[in-house]
Amino acid sequence: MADQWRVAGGDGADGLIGTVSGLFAKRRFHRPRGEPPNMAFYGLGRFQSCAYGLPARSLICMEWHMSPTDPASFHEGKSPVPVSIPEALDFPIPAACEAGFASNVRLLEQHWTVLRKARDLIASGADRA
Amino acid sequence: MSDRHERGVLETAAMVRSGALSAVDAVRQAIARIEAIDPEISAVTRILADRALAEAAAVDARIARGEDPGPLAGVPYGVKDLFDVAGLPTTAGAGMRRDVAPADADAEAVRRVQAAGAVLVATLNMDEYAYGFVTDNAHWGITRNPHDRARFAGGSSGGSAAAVAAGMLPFTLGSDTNGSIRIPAALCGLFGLKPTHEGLPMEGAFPFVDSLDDIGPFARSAADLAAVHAVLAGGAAPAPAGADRVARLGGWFARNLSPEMETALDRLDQAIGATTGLELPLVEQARSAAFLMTAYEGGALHRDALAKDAMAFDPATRDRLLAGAAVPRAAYDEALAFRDWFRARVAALLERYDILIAPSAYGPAPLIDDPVIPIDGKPAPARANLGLYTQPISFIGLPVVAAPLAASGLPLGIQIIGRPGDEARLFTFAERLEAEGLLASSPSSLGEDRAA
Repeated sequence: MADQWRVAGGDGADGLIGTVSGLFAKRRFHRPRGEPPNMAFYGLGRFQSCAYGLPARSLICMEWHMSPTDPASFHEGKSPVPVSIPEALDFPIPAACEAGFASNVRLLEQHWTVLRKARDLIASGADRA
Repeated sequence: MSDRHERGVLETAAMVRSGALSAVDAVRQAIARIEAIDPEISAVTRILADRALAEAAAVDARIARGEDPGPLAGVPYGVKDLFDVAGLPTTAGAGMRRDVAPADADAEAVRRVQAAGAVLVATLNMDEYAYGFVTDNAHWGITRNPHDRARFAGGSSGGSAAAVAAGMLPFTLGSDTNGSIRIPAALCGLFGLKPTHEGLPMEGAFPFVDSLDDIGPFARSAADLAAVHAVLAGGAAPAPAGADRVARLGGWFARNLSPEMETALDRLDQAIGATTGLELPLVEQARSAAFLMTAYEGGALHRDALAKDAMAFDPATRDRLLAGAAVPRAAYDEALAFRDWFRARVAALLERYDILIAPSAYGPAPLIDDPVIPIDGKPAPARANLGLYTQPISFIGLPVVAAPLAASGLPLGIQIIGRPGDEARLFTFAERLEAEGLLASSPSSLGEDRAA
């Protein structure tokens, strides 16, 4: 699929689960049990970006469903899936760029959503309206 | 004869050619004006006094020998900071490029206007790497609008526009990827040309998005603009015969306009008898596709530098380029595929109409302290969204003359759009509307209270 992210490792079946919102696709994110969440990440809000302290080809865009004040809420026994990332970005995002990066990613997501409607509109003849 | 600060390209060249004004004096006047005025607007990044005076002296020497000094004899001009100038680093507005190796040679566009007698006086501010519509540069400052310094000059060629609008230079060169000539031309009340894609030489111009990049001039009259274009293009095409079939675009291009822009466009419609309400298909998709192409190609171009040291970038540009570097190839491919469809549909409309008219921007220049514009009732960042009406047009490479509407208050600008290669028709049409008083570049009052 065109918008699939590349698999970038993973630490086995036992870990913390979040949701990665890739650029236009949602995947889930696996984090080894016992490793504390990156606290800087909490300040970024529900949908934000980060270089998560993982090696290159690391996480880019995430949507956390845990409570920002309760890291323990991370420990849910969901099945891990491979970490997935944008195909092009294989370097960490500096912390100072996280918020701006995330907001621009969201903007680009919106534009791709708009563009994708073109196919349907053309097929339906709505472009002639 | 015009005030020396309002002297245009053709008038200056005529005076130099006739001996009424030496090229050296024209250059000295321009430099004095820049030194007096530029601290208020930050349009200029480097004054090239030694080079300019040497070039001007060479023009005067040619005239003294009885040689033809060229159609732009002795006309001072400046270039956006992304054109190669021999002996200088080409910064493209990036602080990290301040100390790169100097360019070996001038950009081809610079070479052509110099061969026609024009004299390079200054390099001009821009958004970093041309990614923005406001010319708010973390390294070289904000270029302010000569008509109201509390407002943006537009971008990314904001220095090029402000320098002409402030009467520092009769013409300048800029570049346009998504509206970077048309937006600042509109906000500063100037004529500007976004040529047919690949219609003017890009050699020696720092790239941004190869699929969309073009260079072009700014000037204070349509005739001046045409004169510079003729030099850049290697000759002027003949003016077309017959009446033009003109339509004003509606739909997307009639939404989100400021009240003063709506009024000005209605007045123009009535004056020229344009067909109104013509809608292009799927314009919103075209804009989004242009946005994605820009992000993808721009991100790819700067990817290695971002990986090496993202913090060296202007923060506003950096975050956009980082996001662009993450765009999947599939999004880019979809944008390219849609472009073919959109281009074909617009080409069909341009068989029925010779000229399309659309706003360049939603209204007057945004305030620097409130950098948003209203889109669908919500505030949107001006830096990324001023190209609402320009992006769908450059997306398919059509030529556009950006022109200032004759109206009181802050400048308002329109796009005069034609078929590929039909620049001569656009110039002729713009000159006619200018002669009829419907288009006009109003001088700014900057520096009226001082000698320059």
